[in-house]
Amino acid sequence: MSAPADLVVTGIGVVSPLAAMAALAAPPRAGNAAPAPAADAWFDADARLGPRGHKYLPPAARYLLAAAGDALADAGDCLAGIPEERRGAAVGTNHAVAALHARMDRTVISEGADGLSPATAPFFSVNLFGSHLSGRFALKAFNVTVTSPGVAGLEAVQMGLRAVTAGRSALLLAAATEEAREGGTHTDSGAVALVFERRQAATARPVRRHGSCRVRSAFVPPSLLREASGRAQARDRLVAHLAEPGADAPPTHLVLDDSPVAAVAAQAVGATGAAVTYEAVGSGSLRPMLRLAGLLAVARGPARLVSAIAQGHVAWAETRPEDARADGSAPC
Amino acid sequence: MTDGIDCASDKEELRDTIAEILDVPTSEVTDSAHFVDDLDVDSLLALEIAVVLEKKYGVQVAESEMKRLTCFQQVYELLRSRRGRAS
Repeated sequence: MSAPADLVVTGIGVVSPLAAMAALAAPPRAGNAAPAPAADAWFDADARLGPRGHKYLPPAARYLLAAAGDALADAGDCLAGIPEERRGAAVGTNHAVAALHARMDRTVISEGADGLSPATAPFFSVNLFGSHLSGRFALKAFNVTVTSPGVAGLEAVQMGLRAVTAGRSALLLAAATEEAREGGTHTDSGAVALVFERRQAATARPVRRHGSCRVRSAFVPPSLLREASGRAQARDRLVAHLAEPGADAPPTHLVLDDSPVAAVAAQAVGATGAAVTYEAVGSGSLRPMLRLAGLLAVARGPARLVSAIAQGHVAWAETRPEDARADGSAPC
Repeated sequence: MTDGIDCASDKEELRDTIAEILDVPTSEVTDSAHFVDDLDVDSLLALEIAVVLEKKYGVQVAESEMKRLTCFQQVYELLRSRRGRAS
């Protein structure tokens, strides 16, 4: 797994039209598919970000800043004493910029390129979302944006933790942010942010340690699954990753689409003997991160989250609460 | 597109427009408030002003000209002279 055991999550920030954290840890079987309300009417930017400074930010950038602010606040005074160049950021997204691109396309067609808003134009690049985040909170150790379909958020956690483990930073803010695509469902909009830091640093101050989290990922070539032998091979490889000899498989939540890749991932999880819950992945990278945040917030024992998507990306996260939560107390 | 930029109401409309672009209360956009020092205008916001002035008033402002406009009164004078020249 990609993270050492001494990294813990001390901050969780969720910006979503979905329900509270407890509901995120025990989602319904079916994905939410509520029709989209007017744009992001569920999000009060002035209340979350203040009256100024966000006018030209795309919605996904606003969600990201709000979730990051919440996560850092949840983590207490975590930035104090950590130099700016020792704070890293990793952001996953699939559709943060899709709606903006569509709006830009319409402007170019109707008015020409001169009609584009100069203040918004830089967000044409998806990397700007993470860059803006880093600038706002002085996260200067590294800044990486991941866009793998469906699993970008989980892979942002994975890559960010790998960088922390390599010594590139002392603190990681890992996040996912999305703006639902035009015509999509509003529940695919929002952001999740997690603060990871060394357990030693976290225990030095009165802050809740939500738990630890490790992420791995794999690629299952969709073409491999056309034949029964390929499906069996892929399933067995995943089982080898997921099964731990001599240990019970943790309760596992599946966040999947309806693809052959997802079916193979579900079969592999089933083969581990884990108790399984399921929901649809929806559009974008947000849903797995919402569930991960929910598990970190409320799960009382080890848990696993597996996400897989048609393009072949499979990622799984394993969470473990701090020991004290098993008897109902919050570790500080 | 707005036709004139001479009377007081036109000036206040322009002031409202600039305030909306800069995302500040109109009261902060005084005639002499410095765009950079007082209103935190950066290069992107300066370009935003130029784009809106062209869309709303039909007046093109070159990037080099924008650099010389340091306060609202100068923008107003520029538009008034350009609109007067055009009519």
